[in-house]
Amino acid sequence: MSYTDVEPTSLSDAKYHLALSQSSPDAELLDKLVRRFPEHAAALTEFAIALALDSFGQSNDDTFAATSTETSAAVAKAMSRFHNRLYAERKALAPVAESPINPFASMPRSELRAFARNMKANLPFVMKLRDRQISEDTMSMGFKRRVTEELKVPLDVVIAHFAAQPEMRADARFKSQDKPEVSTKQSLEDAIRGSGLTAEQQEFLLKL
Amino acid sequence: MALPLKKRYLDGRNYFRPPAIEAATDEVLEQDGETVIRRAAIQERTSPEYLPSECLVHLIRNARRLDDEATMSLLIPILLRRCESNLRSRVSSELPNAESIREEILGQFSELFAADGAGANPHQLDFFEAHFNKAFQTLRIDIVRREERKTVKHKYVPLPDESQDESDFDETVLKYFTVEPDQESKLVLKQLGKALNALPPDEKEAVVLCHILEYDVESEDPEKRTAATICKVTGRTIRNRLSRAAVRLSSFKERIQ
Repeated sequence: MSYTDVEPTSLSDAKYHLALSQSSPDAELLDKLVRRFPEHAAALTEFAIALALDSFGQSNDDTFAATSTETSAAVAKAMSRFHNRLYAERKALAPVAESPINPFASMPRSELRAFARNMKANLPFVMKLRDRQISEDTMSMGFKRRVTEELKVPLDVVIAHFAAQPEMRADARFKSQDKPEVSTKQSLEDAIRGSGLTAEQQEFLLKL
Repeated sequence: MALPLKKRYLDGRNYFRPPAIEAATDEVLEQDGETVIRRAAIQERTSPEYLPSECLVHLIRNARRLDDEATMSLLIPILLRRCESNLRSRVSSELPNAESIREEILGQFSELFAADGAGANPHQLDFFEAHFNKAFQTLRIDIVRREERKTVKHKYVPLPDESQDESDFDETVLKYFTVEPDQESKLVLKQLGKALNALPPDEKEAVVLCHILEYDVESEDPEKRTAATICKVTGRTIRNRLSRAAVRLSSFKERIQ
């Protein structure tokens, strides 16, 4: 972070005022500023001393004549800082991406069970769907349509839900002291095979 | 036409560009991108097409407002090269970390463009658009002071005991503190400035306060700011510091005679 990010505007304004004074600041001007900004008395006095020394014997026509068209290491580093800061500023301004709607979120356990029955699945498998633990790109369009029909929500809502990052429900219980991280997503087939479904249920879901 | 500046001077007026800068900025804003880049790259200050640094600041800020990264990436290095040239002469190579101080100044300056319009001081670059040299001088002084405090440990030659006696600044030296520099005195002033900068901090502070800013050493008026009240020491201490500085600067007097 640059010092200019933290320096009060009133202090930088007063410094600019000193810098714009004729050839060098004097006691009268400095005292006037100190009376106006007593909270910056020490900083302004220190700056005025440095400015007086810096301006000593110098004309106002300072040299800013580049003598090369080559980019030096110092300029390259400064450009890198510019781009990094630009990225940070843009990121800070970008609207926070809203998490897609979870169509399962408001469903009580009874409704989740009913959905499981209609899908010819079981509750553990439905929990995986709810918590986005199954990779969306391993799901057939038939499977997604079936979920859409059972949930009675638009297809894009279902796709956006499955495509989003896995989530850990706030009310989830776990035994360890630290909250567990959400693991990477499973393929649909692995989720079907690993949810305690019967062979018949597995076959039905895999054929959707 | 260039957008008016929003920052205000302490007297309440809005910052304004000097007429020559305003005219040059208006002119370049009418030109196509290729011409602008060609003109920005001109280094000869005597060329009628040379763009003052204030204009470059305006063009870069314009590109920043339009999120035109390509133009910013072309123009900022041109301005930074000018600044780098200034820093080579104004940040003494005698400082042990001169290179890193110059890099820090360029880095912080470039960040001002990225952060333009945001934060607690969103119009800070208005100062650069109106008075580039003064604005860059302020930035440079601040960063040099900060960096010096972090790293520079001065070693000063102790003075003989008799230097504790009160010695006055010689008139030959004193006259240079108050004269307006002309061509003839410029070189002497440059040397004197170098000699002043080489003084120990407390002596340097006393000399600048009393002989450049023209504060009294002390006063019977308790409300009056003096060198003694500013440094939070007695008037006698200030006089001692001035005496020691006078002894140290006596070699300078010999050089100019």
